[in-house]
Amino acid sequence: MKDKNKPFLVLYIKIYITEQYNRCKISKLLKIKDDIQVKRLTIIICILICATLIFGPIKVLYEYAIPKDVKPTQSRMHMNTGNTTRVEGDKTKDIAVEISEILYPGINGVGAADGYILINSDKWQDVLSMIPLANKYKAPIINVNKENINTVLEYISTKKPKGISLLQNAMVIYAGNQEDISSTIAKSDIKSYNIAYSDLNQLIDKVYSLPGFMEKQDYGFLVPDSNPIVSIPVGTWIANQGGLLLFYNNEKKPYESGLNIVKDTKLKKLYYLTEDTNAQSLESYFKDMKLKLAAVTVGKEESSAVNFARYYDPEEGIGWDAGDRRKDSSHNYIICSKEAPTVAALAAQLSLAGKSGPLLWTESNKLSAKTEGYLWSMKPNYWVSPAEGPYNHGWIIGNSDMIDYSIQARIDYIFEIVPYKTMGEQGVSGLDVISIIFTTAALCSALWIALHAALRMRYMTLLIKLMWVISALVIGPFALLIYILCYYNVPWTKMNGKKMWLRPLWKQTATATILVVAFGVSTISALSFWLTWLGLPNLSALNWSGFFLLGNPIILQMIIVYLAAFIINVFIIMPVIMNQMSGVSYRDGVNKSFLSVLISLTSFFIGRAISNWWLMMVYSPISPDESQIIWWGFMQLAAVIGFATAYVPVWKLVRYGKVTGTM
Amino acid sequence: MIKNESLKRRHTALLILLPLIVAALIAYLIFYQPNYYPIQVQPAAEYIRPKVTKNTVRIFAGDIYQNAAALTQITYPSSFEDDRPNAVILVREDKKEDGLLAASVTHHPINAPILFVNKDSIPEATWKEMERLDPQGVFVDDNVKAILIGDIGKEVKNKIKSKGWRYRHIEGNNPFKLSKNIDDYLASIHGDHRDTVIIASIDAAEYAYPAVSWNAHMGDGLFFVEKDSVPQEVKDALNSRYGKAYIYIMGGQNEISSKVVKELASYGHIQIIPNNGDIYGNSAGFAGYKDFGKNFGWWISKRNRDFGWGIAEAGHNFIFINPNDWHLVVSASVLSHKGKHGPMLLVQGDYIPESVKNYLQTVRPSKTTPQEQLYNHGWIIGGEKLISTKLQAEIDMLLGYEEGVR
Repeated sequence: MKDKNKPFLVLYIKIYITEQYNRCKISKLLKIKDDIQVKRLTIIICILICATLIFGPIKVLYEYAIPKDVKPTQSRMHMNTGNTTRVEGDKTKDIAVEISEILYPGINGVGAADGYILINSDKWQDVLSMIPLANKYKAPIINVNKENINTVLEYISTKKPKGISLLQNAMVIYAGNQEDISSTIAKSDIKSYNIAYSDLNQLIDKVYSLPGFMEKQDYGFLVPDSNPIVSIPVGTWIANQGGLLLFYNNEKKPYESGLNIVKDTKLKKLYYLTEDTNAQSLESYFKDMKLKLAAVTVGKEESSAVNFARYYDPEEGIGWDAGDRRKDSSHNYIICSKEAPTVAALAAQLSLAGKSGPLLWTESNKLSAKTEGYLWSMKPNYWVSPAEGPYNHGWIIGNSDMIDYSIQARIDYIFEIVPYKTMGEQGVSGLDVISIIFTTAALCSALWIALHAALRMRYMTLLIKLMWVISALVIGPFALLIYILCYYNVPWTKMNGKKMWLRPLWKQTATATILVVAFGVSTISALSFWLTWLGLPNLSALNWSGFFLLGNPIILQMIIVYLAAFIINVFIIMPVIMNQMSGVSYRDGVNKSFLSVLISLTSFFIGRAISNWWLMMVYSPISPDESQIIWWGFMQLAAVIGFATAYVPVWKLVRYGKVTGTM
Repeated sequence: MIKNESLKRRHTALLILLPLIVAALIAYLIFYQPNYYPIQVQPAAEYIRPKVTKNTVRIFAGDIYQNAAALTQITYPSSFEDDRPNAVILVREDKKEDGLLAASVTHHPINAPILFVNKDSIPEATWKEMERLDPQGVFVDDNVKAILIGDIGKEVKNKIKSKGWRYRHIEGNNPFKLSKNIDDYLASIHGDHRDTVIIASIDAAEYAYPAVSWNAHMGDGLFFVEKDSVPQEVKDALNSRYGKAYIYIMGGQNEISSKVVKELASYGHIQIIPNNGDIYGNSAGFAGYKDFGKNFGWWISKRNRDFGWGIAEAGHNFIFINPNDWHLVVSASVLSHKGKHGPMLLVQGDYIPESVKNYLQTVRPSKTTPQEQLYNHGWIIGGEKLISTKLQAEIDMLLGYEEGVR
């Protein structure tokens, strides 16, 4: 009689499946001889699902902590990447020439420099002190010695510099004491200007008294002469925007030359850079001058360069201000090894023109943690299309002995432009944070339920305990909440030796829906994980028939996981649960569970599939895979929505006694 | 015997401990630095130090296979899993149209660069690069690691198999059939035939060069027609679209006749990419071209169409290429897929055509403040015979801001 009330289609499907079941005798196929074997199989399946749902997120964590496939060697044809350019050179002098070639290619007069600054010194302080000159005269700096002077002069003559007008069209400024070098320059056809000096103090004094140099100099930087890590990053700003560079010594006393310059000129502001705040003694040297002093406390080691990159004085507009405020702008960085300060001082002049930006430090064989953290914080992202920019770019200074290739590759990866909403595979977006919190909460909820069920719910069957644990892995803290609501202060009774909780209808519905989550949706999630990991099927051959949608891997995956979840639930799990609850035989269990599983699982699946698709379409322009935490986050969130869509039909099933929610 | 009180104590302890453990774990992960280092680089026999200027980088190597490898080395450093491609696309070195069509496959989720093979063998440079790239597998297609395009022989497949890689072969013994098959393959992955398609003449395939970089960037379809007729395969492909297609024609009346344009109009909306009369103007016209509007959908969810680079301001990347070498055009398309995505501009060996120069003047940065300065970047593709060093220096000047000019 009951069957007469069922819709014809449902009845037909039921008869068809039952016939097919009887024909193939699935229990024989599965070699199931009795209910105990089915029960064992059910427990094994549940444990496998449970293990998959724990293993998946832990795999993500593991692959983050221990990166996969880092190969120790690599053969390459060149050393550039999409977001980085390597400035190659074995020695300081090679790199100096390479930098000047980058800045001023000077090919047939196109892009030529006004002149060249040749310095006979390998000290970073000497090179750095020439940076203001490079900015003023648009002339790159090259180190010279007796061995390379002829080669450098030949190079300069091919570049045809325009001549520095303020120095009577001199093409070369030579700073150094070796007379044989100055005489070699004098013998060449290149017009030069010599600066002979004995120490840094004298060099600065002479440099700053060059014709026209002090014009329009409004501000200066006072930096320590013994700490290249703090001092050299300032060079990038001076190279790009000008300004004076003055030194102070270990006793925190400014050089005489610097004090004289400040006295004689009308500087508006002097920025002094220190590692820590204990540098007030410096201020005492300037207290009688009409000059604003600004302390820039940059911190130690790599942090100092990061802090200088972020520094900004809004009053004067000084500082790169490459921090959170300007995260959406384009940024270039000069990446230098801490072990090669002279090279870094030369590299600072890359900010003279073109892709200018601050200098950052790294170790030689590993990207320094502070620098990496900062670069991640500045990762570029786009809103609609990656063609919109902005892009970041990195100059990697020196050969791979100076900065390992892996550092360059890592910086290239960090600089890759990614969607704003997801921040790419290794980036952490708001959605990733939500996913991490939700997944962690799911694991904790499952652990809590497992402990509670094991210790306190001794009348609960193993399968029901597993049901709650698995449901927590799928819908996280929501399952924990329902678990508490369904057992805390809920009266119970025993029927046929089984413990039954006497709950109101809405709680029974929630428990019955959890049944779908635990055994249906969890199967879908676990299988989705394995399919995605092993590769989704793609039937593009179906296109000829016009059914290309059926060949789509995501749609195929949905069909496969739905059918698998349906079969496992109808033929394996639900009969066992029914047997435990009301003692029905396996075959009756299959018959009775068919309709309820069809309705509950389908309604759940519709909610889950639509919401998962929507989340992917709206929030992730590039499909995530199982190795990303966001994939798990989306799946769990979609399962929560699926729970809500399944609740109403399940309520109907509970009301008419088709499923029970008293376990 | 377990008492309620002891259980409560256990629960309280657990409730306090668990969040603490989780918080400690999260804090550890925030400060933890995974080890991606170091990697020893072995310079290849054909190692080069390309000419670099402040706004440009040249990329070239010895032959077509090495050039393609040098380009993939730009895009995929392949030093760890996430910076490797999902697959490699293998195209025959003697099939120009196949190569141009293959660029659509490069786009996500396939994420694969193009390398060249012979019909029956994989050259050493290509093989070495495949090994270096070591693709992850396309998860939306059975984790295949190689996608073979067009008429490729068994020997190539066997060699790939010998490596334990799965592959997908998109067949097609003529460009029209191949374009339909590529279109269908991508439709099965995306669950939809892209409504935006580019049409070029098979007799003037150079007009399709700029489309190659766009397709690598966005994955739209490319179809060839004959000057006076639309092949049946292309008609079928256009009919596969749900509703009408948005058709963008590359080439003027000399390349695609008015009859064909009229016929194409029956399959959807058509637009002609501005070309200024030649392939150089076509590349500049396409770089600045944008078509934005509604596409299809239902009343609660309408999708928009967004076709073309539409770059009309500074802060972008450009790929400079001489059209004399189509192999470079095909392999350089990967530069628009990752890194600094940007259009392809065609130049002559020692000369920037006027239309391209005018376009570069339009997008040239103005000097602003050091904090907000915009920069352009240019890839110079090929050796000095294709683009001279002098021209590279000129391009460098045009890409940078002019001192004192606002």
